[in-house]
Amino acid sequence: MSSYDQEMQDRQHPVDEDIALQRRIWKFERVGWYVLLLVVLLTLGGLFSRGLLSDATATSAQKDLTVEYQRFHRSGGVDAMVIHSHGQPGKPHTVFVDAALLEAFSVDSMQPQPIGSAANRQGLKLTMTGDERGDSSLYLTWRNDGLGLVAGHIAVEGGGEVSLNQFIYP
Amino acid sequence: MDAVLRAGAIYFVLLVLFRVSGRRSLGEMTSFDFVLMLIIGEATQQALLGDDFSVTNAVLVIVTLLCIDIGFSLLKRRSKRIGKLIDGGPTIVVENGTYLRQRMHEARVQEDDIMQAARLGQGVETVEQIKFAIIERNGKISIIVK
Repeated sequence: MSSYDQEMQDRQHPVDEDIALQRRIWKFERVGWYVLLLVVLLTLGGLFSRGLLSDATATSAQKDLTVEYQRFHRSGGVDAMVIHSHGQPGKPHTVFVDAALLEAFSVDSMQPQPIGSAANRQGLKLTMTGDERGDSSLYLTWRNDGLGLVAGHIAVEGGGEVSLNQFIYP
Repeated sequence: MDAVLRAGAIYFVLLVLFRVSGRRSLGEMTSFDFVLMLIIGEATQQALLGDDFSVTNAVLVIVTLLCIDIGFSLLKRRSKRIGKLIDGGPTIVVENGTYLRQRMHEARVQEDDIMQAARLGQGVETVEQIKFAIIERNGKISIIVK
């Protein structure tokens, strides 16, 4: 028997040992340390909101709607979203936010205030004034109330649409 | 309902995290470790209570945490194996004046840690004077002299 095996044998005196189980616990501690390190790295990378993995931009096929958002959120946290939309120059246009998003998030603030807003079962309609080229930007901060996967969409009435898939951690 | 779920989730996460961090960090606490504990407590507070700062919510969270803790202690009394899984078991690291280095390596214990415990507890000068050094379940190193 090697000295290693001899060392790793259970002793009964002065304490009753279970080295096999203890070694499993030590192994768990070592693996656990790497898991913790991985969690920290993934957090820095943005897997748990705000970071390279989480920052996302969606643009409609017609290029008249661009949404900057976070793929990952944490329940109770506040995140920003920017909606850039384009309508006819000099005329107001309407941005539609669907109900699935509104159920998962509650709007904390909205800048600038739209000139009109209306809601129905399908979602929220926000009427925006565009600049001389018809462009407008809406800055929203959301408080995350939902949990799990949230699939929703934002659209410009009579124009393009983007689908957003977001995940809210507990 | 969410008070119970929050308390349960935090209890199990902390249980696993402290198992990962090992017994040593709990046993030999420096003043910085103590500050770290306070920060961990601060960080978990919000997750435990959520937006609800009512007395009822605080009481529910405390009751749940105590319930799980008492439940575990009862479980540990019933099954020795579960107790060992949760708390670990005692491990001998010095036997008849000789370091058991493989064990020390895996338990992340150094000669200095053992000699410090020996000096503090027993006034021991050299390892040859030690019959047994044991890492106890609470992470402290106990010394039995020859």
